[in-house]
Amino acid sequence: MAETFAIPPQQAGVASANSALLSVEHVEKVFGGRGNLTHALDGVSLNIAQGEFIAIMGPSGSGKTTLLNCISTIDRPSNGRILVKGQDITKLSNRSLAKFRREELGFIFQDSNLLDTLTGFENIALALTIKGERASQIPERVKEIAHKLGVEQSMNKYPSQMSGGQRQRVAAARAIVCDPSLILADEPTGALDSHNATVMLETLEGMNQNMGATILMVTHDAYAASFTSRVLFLSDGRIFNEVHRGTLSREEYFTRIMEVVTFLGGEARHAG
Amino acid sequence: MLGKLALRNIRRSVRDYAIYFVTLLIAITVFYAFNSVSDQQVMHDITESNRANIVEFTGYMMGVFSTVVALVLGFLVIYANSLLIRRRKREFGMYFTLGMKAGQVSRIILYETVLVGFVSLVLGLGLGILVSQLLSFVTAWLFGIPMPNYQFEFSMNAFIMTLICFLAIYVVVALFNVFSIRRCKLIDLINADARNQKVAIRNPWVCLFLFAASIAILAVAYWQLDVNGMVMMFDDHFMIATVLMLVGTLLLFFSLSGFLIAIVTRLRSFYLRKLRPFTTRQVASKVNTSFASMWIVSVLLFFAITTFATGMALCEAFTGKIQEANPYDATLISYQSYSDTETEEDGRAAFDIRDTEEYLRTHVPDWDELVADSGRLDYYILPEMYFGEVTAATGATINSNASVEYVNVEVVGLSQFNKQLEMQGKEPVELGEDQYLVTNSMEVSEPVAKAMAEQGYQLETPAGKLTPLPEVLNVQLGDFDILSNSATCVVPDSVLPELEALDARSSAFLNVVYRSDETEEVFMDRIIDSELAGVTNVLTRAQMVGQAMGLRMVITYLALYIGLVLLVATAAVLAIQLLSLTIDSLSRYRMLSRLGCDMRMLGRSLFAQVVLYFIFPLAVAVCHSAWAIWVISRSLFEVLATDLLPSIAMSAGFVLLIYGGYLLITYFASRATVTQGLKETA
Repeated sequence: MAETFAIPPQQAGVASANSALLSVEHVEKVFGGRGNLTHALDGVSLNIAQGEFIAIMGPSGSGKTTLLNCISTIDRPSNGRILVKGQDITKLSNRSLAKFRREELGFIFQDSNLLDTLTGFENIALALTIKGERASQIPERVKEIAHKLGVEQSMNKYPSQMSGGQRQRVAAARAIVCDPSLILADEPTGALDSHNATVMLETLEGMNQNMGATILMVTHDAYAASFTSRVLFLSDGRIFNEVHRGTLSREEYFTRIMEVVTFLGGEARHAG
Repeated sequence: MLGKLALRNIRRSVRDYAIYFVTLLIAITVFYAFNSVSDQQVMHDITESNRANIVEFTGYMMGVFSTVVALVLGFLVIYANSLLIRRRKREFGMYFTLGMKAGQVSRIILYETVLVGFVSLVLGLGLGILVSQLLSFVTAWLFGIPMPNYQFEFSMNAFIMTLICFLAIYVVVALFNVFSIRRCKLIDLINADARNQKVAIRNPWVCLFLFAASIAILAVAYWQLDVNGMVMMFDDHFMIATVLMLVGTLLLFFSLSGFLIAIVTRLRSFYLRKLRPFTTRQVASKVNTSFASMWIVSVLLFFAITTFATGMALCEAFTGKIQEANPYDATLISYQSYSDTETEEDGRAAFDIRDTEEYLRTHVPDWDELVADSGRLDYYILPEMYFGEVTAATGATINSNASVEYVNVEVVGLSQFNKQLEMQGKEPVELGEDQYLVTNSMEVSEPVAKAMAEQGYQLETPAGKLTPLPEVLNVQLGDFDILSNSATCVVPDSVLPELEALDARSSAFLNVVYRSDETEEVFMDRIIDSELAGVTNVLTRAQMVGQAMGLRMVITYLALYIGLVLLVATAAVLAIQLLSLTIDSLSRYRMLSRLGCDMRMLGRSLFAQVVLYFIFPLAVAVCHSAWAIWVISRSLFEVLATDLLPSIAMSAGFVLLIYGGYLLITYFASRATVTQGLKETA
């Protein structure tokens, strides 16, 4: 079984480093101090091209969240480089990082993380006001996005008055309203029931296919991963495998993802 | 075991406890220091020889205000404590899940309360005693009194009062804590963090309506206060104004943020810029949830500013003219009625008040060595002349609440009067046989005196009608605590025998100028030694000045005490609320940081939040105070001819200092909290 899936990490990624939107090069992240080191990331390399929709999967403790934090510049890697549009973001100052985040990145979190004191409209608009967009253009742009993602009814509601699905879609609208180079989604369906999860995933798919958004999604749900074009598997801080959808139907793609997940689970049990 | 846990809890949450502890410390220090003021040695030196009722009155006022202060401080402490408990609910939830009984958890908190209470009492009283030493120097310095023999000041009264007061507060705090733990459900304790973030949302149309209503109610309150004039307290108008002011202000704060949100969110080009939506909503939601405490803060602030400004101005009005009110070194006053009766009971010869001077000259051997100059002034009443007639005839009014309708016009003889002028270093006056002169120094009676002189009011005397000189002479004719000459008329000496025949003498003043400044004590001893009968009152300049300074200091301290306590208490409440808002909103700041806000943007938002939150209650209070001070200045201070500006400037300075200080501290503390909070996630 093993040889079927064991692809050397160096070959991971369809895009070459030159043309990639995001390229992660030999990134390591070490936690802890003397005598008690944990390699959360142990030399991860990957490339993402413009317009891709990618899922990163892996069991708990595999380093998914650490990798996402490093890419989203919330955390800094101990070693290695992360290039976005050719710029090494690990070298940026804190001030430049904030600027980088508001200009190049969009975020979607598991618990939506909308500001509970602001209405849906204001939550989406905030991404634009922070960026310094002109106030006169903001309502128009927010309305347009809200229409595209089907969250017009949530515009005058506070997060506490919305359903979980609505909240996540408003969060998606906030992530994409600034036209970021890369949208990072951390378990975006983790807190949703299956119906709302499907709606949310279709929303993300639509953002990717119709609006040209590049999305990197971290998930442990194979069903969620089956909406993407490529899945990277992370285990013990390394890229362990990857699956391309290519011309597969969603069912076939899902089955292939499940095979790897099952294998990884078995591996984990052996290790345990 | 539980005690150890309590001790470790305090050590671990020092930062949380700091707000509570500092609040306690300030409260105890201030409470002790100001309560010990009335026991200061300097204070006794000043007030020793004064009329007892002033001392009694100030003691009473201090007592009343200390009760108010104790209540305010009690609420402040309980408030700071409840915040602390709220922030630790998760921790208590943890104890419960570990299988502790409610009684045990309560006991941990009880130990913590007792421990913190004990330490703060010891430190606070220590600090209070230190500050009270300083205060007695301040007292001496304020009034230019030398402190020849400094001694350690310790006020048992203040000590016991502070102890009782704060022990009572701690008991309430302990009960509050125990009850709030017992009442809690485990699920609420564990989910405490999530519950903190509930947002109060109000219907904007209801808010708009209530806001308009509150403005209308306040307008009526202002009008009622104007009708009342703030001189007669506790009449219907004042009551209505007070109640409407309270209700209107409460409604104002209830509807304020809803109203502002409704307005501001529509100003899109203003609103949709940088973090403004976040900042606005943040402040609005906090004002919404804590409108009641904002209301209390605002009312207390109003009270503090108004008392402070008017108190200082009143103090100036009553003590500012003390030198002018005392032109002589001493004044001996005799009233005719006393001299007639009492002497005979004593077995001495019947005594005529006009003999005072002669008597003293013969009975005080070193009279001429002590006294440089002396002059007698006999007062007579005009039997049929009442001020009621004067005011009716001239149309002048007397600005006094006391009725003067049946008060007789008093006259003095020209030659005695000229002697008084000579003693004051002033030119003598001349009168024709049918002329009289109006003299005055009292503010209240000035319109009448002026009217008499300027309208040529004919004075009816037993010797015929007299015409006034056209000008009022401004002169004080004896030592007193205020300018007290109320339209005394000077008549030609020829009128006096007629009055004498009618037995119209009312009183006699003997005004004395000492040879040297050190005479006072010897002089008073001699007066007593001489067994002089008939003199009912001896007023000396030194006494009057001392008494005025005593009064001045008491009012100054009361105003400082109340002003300081209320300002600090209200600023502390706002600071605590804002800090807890920041702590509760840490997840929001993390979110904003992820969305790409750098610390500079967050800092600006924090600063705006702090400023807005401090300004709302302050602005409302200043508005109310401005109106109240305006009303009282028209009804009272115009009469007293006192300039309110210095005391207004002084209160503004205090507010700026204390509020500005708390505002900056709050801002920096919030900023540090957010910086720390952002680091913790990274």
